[in-house]
Amino acid sequence: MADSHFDGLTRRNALKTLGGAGAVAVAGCTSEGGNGNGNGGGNGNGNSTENGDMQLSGSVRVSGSSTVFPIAQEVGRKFASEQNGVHPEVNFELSKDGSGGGFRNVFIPCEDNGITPIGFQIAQDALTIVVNNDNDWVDSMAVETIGEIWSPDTKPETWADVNSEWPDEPFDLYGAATTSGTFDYFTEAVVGEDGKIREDYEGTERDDQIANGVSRNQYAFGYLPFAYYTNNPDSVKALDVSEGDGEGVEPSLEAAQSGDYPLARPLFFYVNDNKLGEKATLQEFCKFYIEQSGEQYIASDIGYVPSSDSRVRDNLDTLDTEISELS
Amino acid sequence: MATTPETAERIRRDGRFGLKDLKGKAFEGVLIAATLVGIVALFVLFGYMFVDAVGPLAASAEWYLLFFATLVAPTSAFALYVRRRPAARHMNARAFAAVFGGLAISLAAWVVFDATGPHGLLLYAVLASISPLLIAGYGKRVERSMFVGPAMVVTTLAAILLTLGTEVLVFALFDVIARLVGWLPVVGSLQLPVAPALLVTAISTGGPTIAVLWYLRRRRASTRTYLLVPVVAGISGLGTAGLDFWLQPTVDLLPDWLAYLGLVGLPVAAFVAVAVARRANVRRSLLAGGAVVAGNLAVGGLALAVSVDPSFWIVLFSGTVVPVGYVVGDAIIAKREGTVGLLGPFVLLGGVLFGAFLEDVIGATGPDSWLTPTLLLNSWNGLDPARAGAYPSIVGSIMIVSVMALLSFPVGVGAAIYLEEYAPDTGMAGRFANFVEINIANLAGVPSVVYGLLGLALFNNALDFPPGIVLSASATLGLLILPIVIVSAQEAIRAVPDSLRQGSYGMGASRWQTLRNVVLPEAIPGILTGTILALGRAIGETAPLIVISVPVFGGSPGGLFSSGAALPLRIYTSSANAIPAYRKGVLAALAIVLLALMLTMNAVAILLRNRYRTADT
Repeated sequence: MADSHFDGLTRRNALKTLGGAGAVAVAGCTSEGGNGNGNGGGNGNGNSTENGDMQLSGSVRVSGSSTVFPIAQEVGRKFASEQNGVHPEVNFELSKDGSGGGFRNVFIPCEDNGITPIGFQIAQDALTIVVNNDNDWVDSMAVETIGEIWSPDTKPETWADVNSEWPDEPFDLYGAATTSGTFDYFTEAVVGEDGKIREDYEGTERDDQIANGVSRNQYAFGYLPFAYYTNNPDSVKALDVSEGDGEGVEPSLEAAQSGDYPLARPLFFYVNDNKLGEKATLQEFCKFYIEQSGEQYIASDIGYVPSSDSRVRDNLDTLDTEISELS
Repeated sequence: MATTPETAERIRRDGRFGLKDLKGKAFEGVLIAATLVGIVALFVLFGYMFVDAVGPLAASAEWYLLFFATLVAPTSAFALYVRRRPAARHMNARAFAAVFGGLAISLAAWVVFDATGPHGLLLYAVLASISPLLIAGYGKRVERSMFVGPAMVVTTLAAILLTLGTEVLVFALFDVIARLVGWLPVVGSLQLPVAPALLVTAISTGGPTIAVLWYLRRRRASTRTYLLVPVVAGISGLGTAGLDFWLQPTVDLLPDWLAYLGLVGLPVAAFVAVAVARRANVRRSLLAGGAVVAGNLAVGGLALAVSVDPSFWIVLFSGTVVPVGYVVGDAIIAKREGTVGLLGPFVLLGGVLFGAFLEDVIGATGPDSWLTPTLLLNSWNGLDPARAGAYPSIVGSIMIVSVMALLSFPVGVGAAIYLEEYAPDTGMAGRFANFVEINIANLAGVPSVVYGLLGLALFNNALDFPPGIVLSASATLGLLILPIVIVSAQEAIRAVPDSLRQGSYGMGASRWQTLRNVVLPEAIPGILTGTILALGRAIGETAPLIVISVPVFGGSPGGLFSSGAALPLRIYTSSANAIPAYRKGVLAALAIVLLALMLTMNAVAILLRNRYRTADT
């Protein structure tokens, strides 16, 4: 392993030092790409020389939600790792500030500059409703009931307020922070209106804090990305979710893919259209990202539903169309 | 005295006094408990972290036996032996400082140079040192050398400004000015009369020239000394033009290892030569310097012969072997006492290597450690904890902290010197200085996240730097520690007894001479101590880095203007990873790496401080 660093010194590194000054000149909104609910995007700066062997340069910056973070991290590693990436000469940077945060930071200030984010669905998540392991009174819940618990209009104080068979103990609620795409999805799909939620819950960007909080209180209730639950199945208990009068469906990748699970949600990445037209590095990264979104490790190692072959193809077509329109 | 021990005993037994005694004892007990709370909490925390990171319980009995036999026993025996012999103890400390200080510095230097590439840095180093060296040489030829000091400082600063970022700084400045006046109807629409690049050349050539000219006129210097003006102008112009057209292509063509030789080997050789020249004669100094260069070339040649990239070995040779050789050679040539103490670090290192070798041979089960070479040398992998490495983050942290130290140390110490030695005490100006001083003390308590906001507003928004670059991270953290550096440097300067100053003035020294020759040498150990504490605080800062959005995942930063990476951020994100092994083992191991980094930095700084202390006595 040591050797990989010791011989990794190249002319590229030297050029980076000298070229550093150039990157500063790339100003303001146009300098970064972003990503959205899911998260995403990126944009490259730096120049690309398009001779035959596709030598890329510059950097790709991605920021966004903690939900898509593991995918972006792995894709970025495969794309730009100095050790075994396909384009080790590219700088890949990833920051994690919530998809709302990433979106706001990257795109909102740029609206007047005419930037429109282009979105690609890359995976699906089964939003998982979790309770404490010692909770023995509920195994399945309807989406409407969950909405009732979290709605600021009903705002039940105790479990018994929702269902008289449940214990007369106060709720302890854990959920995503308002900057999170998980939050946006949950409020829209469950509570019924984007951004509408009761205020007396613990909101955090950190899924482990949600699981931790729920595992400590018998009367706790929370929601998580499936990837977190599937990696820590013993810490909390997941509820089956039903829609209307239907059967409760256990959260799983298969159920999310087939559409049986009511809280399956799409994950996106977004890319800065201004940059996409100009930067070969960014185009290549988006293409790579879309291709990778169909890979099986997304299901087996991360815990999301990967894109189907047809969606990968559609996304690639969209990308090509966008690129040819923009450039 | 009539009070015999018996009377004292009787008085103590008397109820009133007994109670008082009890009260005293109880108070003492409370104080001891208060002292222990902190220590115990610290040990419990470190204990947990250590167990999580290293997994010592997994190791077999043979492994522990091996550990004690090869490492603990010989080192403790040696330590006990050396303890009784002051000369050997002194030598032992020197050898430890040379081996481990050298190792720490060479490794840190290597990872930074490797990340940024040696060519650009070599170019900067050459351009920044060429002018002062030429002027020093010129100053030795003309008898009157009063101007040499200031001229060297001016040209060095000019060269640094030139090479390290005139373009960047000047362009950014233009941008800010253009924005500030942009709303004025007429002024805002005016174009710059000349191209910015031309302006850069003019400023960097004209500035130093005018400064020197003005200085010489004031000193009514001789005609010969005026020769300095074309020298300075020439060098500045050469620097500006040479950087782009002449030097850069040449430097870029050098093989990596030759660049490292120029960047590390030659300065170390020069340093050794100067150090030897101070103690012995010129012939010996040339010999020592030549030996270092020859050693570097030999290492390079040897590595090339077995087709290994010699770059790392040259840095290691110059940074570690040379100082160790210097210490050992000095002890043997000068026939100092206690030479046996030199063996200390080698007993330790030999024990580690021999133990590792035996462990391999016997096949003993070691601890189930997360603190592996993978963690230190690989880049990050977010899905497989066994292949997760923090190398880019470690490099990023080292770069951010070193640049931060370079930025905040001169500014902080400068401010402290002004406030202590120059600032007036009375009148309006005195009150103003007082006001500044009080507010610096207040600034030291401002929460770090607020400094993060300052960095966000200043660098990301006002100056339009790309988010999270090394320069903004360093400057933000530099602002954060600046008040601490100022306050501690002030304390150190204030602690220098006034009698020394008076003595110096009494001998006719000027204020500058007193400061330079009396106050600063006395104060430097204290100043360094304060800076150590500040650096230790800064390396673990997370909040400001999050605010200026330093990326949490990416490669090693390639220069001042490329995106940073930092170990605290790596720790912060690992703590939220979905896979449990990251939140336990990897997280604890990363925390230990961060602590080790901080302790190494502190140790190096303490070594420096001790050197100054012993040099005094």
